[in-house]
Amino acid sequence: MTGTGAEHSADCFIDSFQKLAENLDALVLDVKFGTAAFMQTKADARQTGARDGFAGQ
Amino acid sequence: MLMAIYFSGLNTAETRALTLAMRDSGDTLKFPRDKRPLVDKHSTGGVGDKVSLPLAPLLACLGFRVPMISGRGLGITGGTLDKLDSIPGFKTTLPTEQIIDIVQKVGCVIWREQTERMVPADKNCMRCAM
Repeated sequence: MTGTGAEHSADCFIDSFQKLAENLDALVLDVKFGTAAFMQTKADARQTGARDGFAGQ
Repeated sequence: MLMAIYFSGLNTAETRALTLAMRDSGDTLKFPRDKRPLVDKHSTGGVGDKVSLPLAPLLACLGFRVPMISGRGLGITGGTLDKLDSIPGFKTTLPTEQIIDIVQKVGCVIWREQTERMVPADKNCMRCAM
């Protein structure tokens, strides 16, 4: 990973907007965790998945 | 606006409103009516890139339609498109009509959006932020 977390987060955000333009029925959220991901622990990943999944309903 | 979001955050309703406004700022893909649901996958990012390539055809086999917009790598490992672009003759940039045609016929396509017509508001936001 060469950039900062903020840069990666912004890129992920943009990709998600483009996904919306696909007029989808459903979007699977792949929440990664670990030393090379934003979320360091499984608990953090579950929390993010629950929050973003709720926001997308 | 971006600074306000950075300092104050967004609640669920505000996130939803911003997201829909972003989507509606440009063109969207319009697929024919079909009993097969339209689905895609979005990753929160990280080193790995092992999900998109097997997932799209698997979902197509299960009866879904997958118009998967993908991106280039953000780090040293490269992204899904970087890997596909390394295959001689493989095209990741396609006209909209062909994307819809492939999805309807094959069930999935992995491609790169490169025009200013889809979600232009977020591109403008990024220009302001840089």
